[in-house]
Amino acid sequence: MATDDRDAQARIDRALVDRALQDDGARAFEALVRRHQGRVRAQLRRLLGDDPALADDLAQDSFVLAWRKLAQFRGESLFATWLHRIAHARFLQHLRSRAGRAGQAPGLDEDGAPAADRGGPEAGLDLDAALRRLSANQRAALLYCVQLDFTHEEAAEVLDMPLGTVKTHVARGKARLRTLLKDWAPGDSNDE
Amino acid sequence: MNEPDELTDRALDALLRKGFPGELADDGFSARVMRALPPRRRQRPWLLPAAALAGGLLAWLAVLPAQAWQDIAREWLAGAVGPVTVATGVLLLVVSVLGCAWALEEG
Repeated sequence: MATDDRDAQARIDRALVDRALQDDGARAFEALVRRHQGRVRAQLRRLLGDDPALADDLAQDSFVLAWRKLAQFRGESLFATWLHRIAHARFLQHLRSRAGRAGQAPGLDEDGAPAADRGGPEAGLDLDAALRRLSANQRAALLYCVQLDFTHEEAAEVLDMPLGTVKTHVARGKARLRTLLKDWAPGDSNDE
Repeated sequence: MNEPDELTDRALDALLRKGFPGELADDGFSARVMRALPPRRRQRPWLLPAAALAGGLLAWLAVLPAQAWQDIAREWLAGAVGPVTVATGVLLLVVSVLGCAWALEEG
């Protein structure tokens, strides 16, 4: 059922891409933007953390780039996968330019190395805090494979990584999350 | 409810999905993107065959008989621009222009 739905969505995207490639294709492209903006923006907000304005700027850049490169979409993957790949590449480009300005290496930390949130006791961590303690690659792999519901193959394409590497990031990310959430029970923060 | 240290794969997936806000409402974003789109560049179907032709000519130029290069050198040293120099210059100009056009096309 879900596969049928994905196939139907892919056919609609494909038809819209074909129309968007014509001279008067702006309306069809707008339909593509409307169909995909919600997930692309959510993807970038999750990758960037708490900066929705920047996420929207990068999402806009991604759609503009998709418009310019639309003729290069060959239909070998889903349009959604192609689009998310552009957005992820734009995110990485942003990280590199930010690191370049700061004179640091980009924030693509090593596996096992904690990411943004390095302090504090592990007890009482909520999910967001636990996610921030994963490496960027583990967070990205979990974002695509679990939260955005891509297949591992699609996530590998978006992340431009070998399939086995993506599976490893997912497995290690989940294992680390289990450890980090060990002393935290769902609902703890809400129940009084 | 699962104990956290017994988080199964499925429970962890459910927790992750629950913690994800999901699709965002448009709130004018699509209109903003449409305003930012550059006009579509016209397709240039002639570019690929022209580039192939120019590349072929360039390759031919690279294997020109040494005599032709000597003629060009002689013309330059004599301060007179002859037909061989002009033809070679035009060819290099065409290749440069096509290279620029290609670069612009690719963005």
